[in-house]
Amino acid sequence: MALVTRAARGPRQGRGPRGTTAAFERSRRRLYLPLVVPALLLYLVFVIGPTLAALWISFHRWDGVSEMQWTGLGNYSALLTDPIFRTALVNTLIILVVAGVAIFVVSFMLTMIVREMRWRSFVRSVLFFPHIVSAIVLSIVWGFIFQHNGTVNTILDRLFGADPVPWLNPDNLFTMILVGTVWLSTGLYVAILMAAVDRIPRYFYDDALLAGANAYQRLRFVTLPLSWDVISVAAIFWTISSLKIFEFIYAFGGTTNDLPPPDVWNSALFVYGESFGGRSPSYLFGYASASAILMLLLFTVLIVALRRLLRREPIEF
Amino acid sequence: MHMQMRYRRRRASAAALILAVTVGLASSACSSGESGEDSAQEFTYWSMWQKKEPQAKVLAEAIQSFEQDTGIKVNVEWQGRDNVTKVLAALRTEDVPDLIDQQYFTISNAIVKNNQFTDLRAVHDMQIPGEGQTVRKVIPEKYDAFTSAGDGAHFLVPYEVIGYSIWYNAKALPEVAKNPPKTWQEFAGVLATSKAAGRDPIALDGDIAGYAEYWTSTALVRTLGVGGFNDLVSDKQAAGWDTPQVRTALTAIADLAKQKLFLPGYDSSKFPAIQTKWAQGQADFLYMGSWAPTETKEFAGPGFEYRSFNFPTFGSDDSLPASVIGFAVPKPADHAKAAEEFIAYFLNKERLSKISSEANNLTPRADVAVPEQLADINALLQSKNLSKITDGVLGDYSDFDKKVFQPLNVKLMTGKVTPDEFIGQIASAQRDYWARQR
Repeated sequence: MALVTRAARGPRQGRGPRGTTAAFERSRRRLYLPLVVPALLLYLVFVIGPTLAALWISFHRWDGVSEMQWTGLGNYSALLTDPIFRTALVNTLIILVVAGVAIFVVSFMLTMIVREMRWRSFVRSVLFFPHIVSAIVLSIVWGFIFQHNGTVNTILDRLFGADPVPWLNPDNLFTMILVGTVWLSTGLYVAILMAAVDRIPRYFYDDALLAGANAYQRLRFVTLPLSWDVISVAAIFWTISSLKIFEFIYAFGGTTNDLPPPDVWNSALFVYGESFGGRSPSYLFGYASASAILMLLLFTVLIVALRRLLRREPIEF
Repeated sequence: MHMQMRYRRRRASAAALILAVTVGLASSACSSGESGEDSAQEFTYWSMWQKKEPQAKVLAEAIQSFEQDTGIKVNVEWQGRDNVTKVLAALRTEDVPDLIDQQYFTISNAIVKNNQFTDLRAVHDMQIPGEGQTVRKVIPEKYDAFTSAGDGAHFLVPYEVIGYSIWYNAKALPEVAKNPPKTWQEFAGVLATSKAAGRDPIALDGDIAGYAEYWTSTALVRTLGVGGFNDLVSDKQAAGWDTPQVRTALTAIADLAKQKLFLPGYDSSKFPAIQTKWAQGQADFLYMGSWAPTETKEFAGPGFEYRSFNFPTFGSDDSLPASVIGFAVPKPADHAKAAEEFIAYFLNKERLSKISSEANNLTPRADVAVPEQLADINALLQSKNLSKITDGVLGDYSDFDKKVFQPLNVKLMTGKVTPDEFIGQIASAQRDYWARQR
């Protein structure tokens, strides 16, 4: 952080003739507003505005059309006693933590393995593939693979004569969603982590090898410290994107017209389920907005905490 | 100095440009509708059908001849099933369609409770073009329960009817065709025979909680009477659940799972896997709406003969669970009169019968011939009292239904809870639910 600020201040104490720097500085400032304002305006209209509107709506009972009825914190207190909201909250956190840890562990393992492989750019593309394909397509494929007499159960039957495993019944559905989420996202984090790891000069590893370091020690003392800044950014990135996971759960657990069972809802599905979702939508816009605002607050706290937790002095090399 | 001036001016013009672009974007997003002229020479119709669906083709044909006959232009958009959701958003703008269609509860949920519908009573008195009789004459009063908004107002004019019955292949089950079970006891006997013969009696795509709900809700209507399940759910004290009638219905449904009468995999497949297996002859019965033959035909085995019977009785109630699809006119519509003219025009026997002959569905007109595969359900439709599918709970209490009743019902139908546990859990969940709605 300190380094960056100093760099930004650089030109002011520049070495060149004072006049040229000042002119450069002035023209830079002149461009500042025209470049920032369009994005800022769009951001205001499409992000900040709706968020504030959601906050306002969350204090009301509203069907989307009639006059809003002021309920104060009524929606919030109702949410805290709503078992389905609690489930959605817990599911969201499980996705964040359990799937998150799994994604990073698997990504590191793959990074370590792929780093030393011959066709690593090809392998990297293959690993990245699930991230490119639409989550909806993948969820449909997963449905076919894991349903009662889908591919997996057929293979298990041929190999072991096993009875079909009910992968998709309500008890197992959320676990399958977790596994699917890990599988969908891992490729992206492998790509990010590999880019960071590739940057690390080879001689650190050679040195570690000469010193007799095993694979774990190379990870612990070379890879992790030297790619820490990328890891921490990737962790924040995962936190934000985990909150937004929607279509995989929706398409994997539900059908064209129907929502998945409420037991597997995360917060995004809860918002949809209480507003537009399902054959006969609930149209509880105040309630849905309140849940979205609560999740926004929770994740803001989580992200600030995570950034503090992951902060390290960057190591220059 | 003058450099600074130039800078300011430039900044000001840049800001003005940006403002203009933003405002332009925002306003063009809002104002694509007509300016609300009074001439009824056109109207806008947001259809629930997509262009390729057979109903869309029938409607498109009628629209074309309507335009020729009346000179009124129809701006039709084939939007698909979320057309009503879009209407809800549009109601806050100037751009509201004049005509929409959907299942009755979808429309009632979106525009009736908030009084955003046009009362279509007047349409009942309109002459049907080319027939010399009124709309009221051809739409029987038994459908009023679906279309009325209280105080005698009607928010909907139906043009398609869905009946829910238990489907089977008469070619494979000639005994059932000869003597279809009427009571639950007889039905249980049929199921036991089927099981004993090594077959799987019932097909159910359990991943659609709404399909599982058909079974339990109809059983509850059978023991409590029409409206009984709806009353149970609307009670803030949830007092009605612990009664012998409820227990009888729930036990009958729970026993289906207990006796393993469902085709294995019903709890862990993706729709339409199980109903497809039914069509291929791997299970005997399917409790489904009258769209079942159309939806399963391409998978049906050779010579599959679609027949169906009414959900068996527990006592006196033998109503037929049903639903209707119809036209509605949002309140702010600019061209309501033109839209109403089209409604009456479409109900003409010759035009409406194509919903039956070409789209293979039932219509509210008793004088329209139906395809052979719908003969049984049509006979039921003409002869029985009608009840709303799920006793209207799906529409009236949709939030409770999907968050509380449906998940618990799936547990009941997969043997995860007993009827007693079900009663205890739903009563307490229902009290909590209503307490949160204050």
